[in-house]
Amino acid sequence: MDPFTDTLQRLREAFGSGRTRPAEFRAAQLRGLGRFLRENKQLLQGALAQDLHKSAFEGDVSEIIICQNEVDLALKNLHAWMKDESVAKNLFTQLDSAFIRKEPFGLVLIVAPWNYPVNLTLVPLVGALAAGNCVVLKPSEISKGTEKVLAEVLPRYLDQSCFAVVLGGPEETGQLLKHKFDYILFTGSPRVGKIIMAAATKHLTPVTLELGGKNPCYVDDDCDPQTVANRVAWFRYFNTGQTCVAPDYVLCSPEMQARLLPALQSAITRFYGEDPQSSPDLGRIINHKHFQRLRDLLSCGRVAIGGQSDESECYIAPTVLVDVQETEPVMQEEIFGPILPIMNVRGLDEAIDFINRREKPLALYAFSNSNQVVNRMLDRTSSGSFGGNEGFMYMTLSSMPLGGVGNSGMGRYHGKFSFDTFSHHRACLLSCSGLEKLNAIRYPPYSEWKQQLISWALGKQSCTLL
Amino acid sequence: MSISEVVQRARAAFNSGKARPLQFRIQQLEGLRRMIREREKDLVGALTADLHKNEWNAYYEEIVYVLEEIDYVIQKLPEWAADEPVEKTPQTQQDEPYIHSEPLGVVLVIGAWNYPFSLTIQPMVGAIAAGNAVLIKPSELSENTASLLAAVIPQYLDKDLYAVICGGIPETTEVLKERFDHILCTGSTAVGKIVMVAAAKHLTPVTLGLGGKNPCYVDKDCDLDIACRRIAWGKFMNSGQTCVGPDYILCDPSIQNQIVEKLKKSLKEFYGEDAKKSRDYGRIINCQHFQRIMGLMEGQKVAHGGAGDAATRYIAPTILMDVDPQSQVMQEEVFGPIMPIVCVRGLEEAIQFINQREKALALYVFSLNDKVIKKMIAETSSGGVTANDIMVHSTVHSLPYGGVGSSGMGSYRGWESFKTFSHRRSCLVRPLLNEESLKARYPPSPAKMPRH
Repeated sequence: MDPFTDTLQRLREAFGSGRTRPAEFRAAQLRGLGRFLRENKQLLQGALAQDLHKSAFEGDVSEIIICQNEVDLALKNLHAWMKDESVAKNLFTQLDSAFIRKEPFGLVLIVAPWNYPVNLTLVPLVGALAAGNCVVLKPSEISKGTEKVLAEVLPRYLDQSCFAVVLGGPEETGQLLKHKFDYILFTGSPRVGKIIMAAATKHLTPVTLELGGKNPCYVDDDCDPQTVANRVAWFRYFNTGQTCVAPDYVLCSPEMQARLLPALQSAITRFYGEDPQSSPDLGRIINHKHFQRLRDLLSCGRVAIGGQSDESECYIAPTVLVDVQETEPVMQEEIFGPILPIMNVRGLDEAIDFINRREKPLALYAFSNSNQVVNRMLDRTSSGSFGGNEGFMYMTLSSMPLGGVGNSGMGRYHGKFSFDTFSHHRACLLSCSGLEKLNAIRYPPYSEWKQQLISWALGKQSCTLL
Repeated sequence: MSISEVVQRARAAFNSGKARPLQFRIQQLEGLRRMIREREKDLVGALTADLHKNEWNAYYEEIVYVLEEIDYVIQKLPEWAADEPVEKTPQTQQDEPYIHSEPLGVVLVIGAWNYPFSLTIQPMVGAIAAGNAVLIKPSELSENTASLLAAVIPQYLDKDLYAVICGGIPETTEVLKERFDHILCTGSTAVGKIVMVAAAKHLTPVTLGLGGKNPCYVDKDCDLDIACRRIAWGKFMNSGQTCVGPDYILCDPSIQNQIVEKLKKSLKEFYGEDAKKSRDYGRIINCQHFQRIMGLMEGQKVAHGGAGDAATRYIAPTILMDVDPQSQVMQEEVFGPIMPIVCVRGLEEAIQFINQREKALALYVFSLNDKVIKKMIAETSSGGVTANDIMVHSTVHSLPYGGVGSSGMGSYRGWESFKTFSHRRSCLVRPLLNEESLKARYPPSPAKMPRH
């Protein structure tokens, strides 16, 4: 017995009825979502604390406020985004009306991960709703606290004929994917991304996959180690390292490493105190499985900073590893934890080669006082996004899309990019019914004189006849 | 050279960085343009051999679009390739946020046989412009065009970066095992799924230009002479083998006879009494499709045409009346010179009919009443739409060309091509100073949270 058939049928019928098309309906849904965020802020903060030991500050700054901003942006711009987009016409369509119509795809599925369980579920939801789709949300079963709030509270704020939350683990998700969706947005690992895309093939469903990778962080010799350490440490240990765009490993010279280590220690102590385990600002690993995985990584290379762990709390100290070999596990998989390995390279070119030998990451960072160094790193590599002298601050700009490339994903969203991702851009041309005489030239028979007339009229220039 | 070696060579050439400079890409596009101009005769010869196209058809239905695309892309490339600054937030006033366009790597373009030149080369133009290495796999069904491309492309373009892979299903299967950074495929839904499955193994993004049954609704309130002429032109061009051609007509029973008469009249004007003798009328690509299309006429009321000649793969322009929506001709994309007419009573029923079926690549609506057109567009979906004409939306290079649902995903043409074949990378560059202003964001967080 498939638990999803009835729900999906209901949503599909609702979409077919046209209910989600008018701007007023979409705006009402977005306002509902905004109210959900405002009225349940404490509940959500509590869920995030339960799931990830996330501080209220982190929960606000990286999840709740970001969702609120997206809702506000969508409400403010909904009409503008929905408008038909006029396009340039060619010579023969001057009297016609040519535009791009944005249409909802239909039934959208959003499969979300556990690391930013509010943000990575609701930000895509904003775009899908604004674009006029019916939406099925599949929050992660691993972040149970948040899953509960989303399943039990969120639907009360939205029109449930057009929105549903479905629950379950990998098996249920597999069952869900047998059904037809008109768009799927998935955030998670590349391994599961492949499974999702393969499943989407059955119904030729387009997908956006926000995946992961090992995000390199190049630290040039020409820089102030403390400034760099502050930034790198903050972005690394935020959410206990469980961030898809966090710097995964550092590339620097041995000389810079020697200056960076005390600076990193200083930053960590300033941020989390002498005993990070008692800091309210440091989170915990999501579950025991990941805790074990990360604890095993601690035996790679040599622990230069941190290295402590406490299984009872799924706590791992902010850690820096040195003398790491490329073949060790910590350099083979995305770390997704508060461990920062430092790899030595001699200069920018070696760093670039190192990076280019590996899969394209979701993010790439370069720290240097020299613009040339930063630009060269940008020009010679590829990644989803790029931060020069900064971590994933770009995530706060809704004017920039978030998306991967290669193994780190395909497609993008945030702000207007979400709206565009969840819309079909339909090319429309409304032709004049009259002026048929002008068209005469395009019809057969293509006699000699017609061909000559055209060639003469158009000269050497090519020109379409339509 | 094996297929694998060709792909490795293209990748090595891409990694060398030689396709990065805009000047290089423009030179290659100019080379492509020269190839078309210098070898136009050979090109036309291949298209004639494959599909019975004459110089006119070949030029105005295929070649001219590619030339136009090349000119447009060369002109716009510097603008498209430039970094695009984006709006800053209060926290990023001192920074430079922008979107940086980069090539993806090695792109595979799988062409179709019905417009074997333009459907392979037009996407290639965009892929080259975006700085990628490009492998094209022309359809083996249009074998003359395929072998011509294999012969001439290496003579005009960089041999390492751009290559032609010829062959049928075995070669396509083999090439799909390789890893690409984007695959664009034009073909049937079945082929689209095969490509997407192969792409999923490497997380390769795809653009699929597939097919469908493109509905053509003819309203009672319309100039039937003009409508039927335009419909006849779009339908029977290339003997009906056009992915954006009108597949079937929906109309009120009261105007069906008139539509048939006017279609007949236009057909006579275009192709004479016997289309078989017309220089301008195409042929079916191969025997298998010939049989398939002839089979669609079985049991149908043939209002016009119906004749076929297997030896020359000629099928007469054919119109079927009072077609039953359950019959075979309404179950698959016709892709041939048969126009089924299905009767519906009014716009509502037409919209319902259309919405009960898969989303098509193109939708056509003929009416003098703006409200009818608006309603048809608003209450249906399709890759694209032209109202009161056929196919024109697919020729405007500022409009994206692509499908939706089972008619495809992604789009290309003009700037859309450039975007499709690029990675648009979000960048934020900040000075390595001003640490003071950032201190507020670092832990430890204040005991009391400020109100928002």
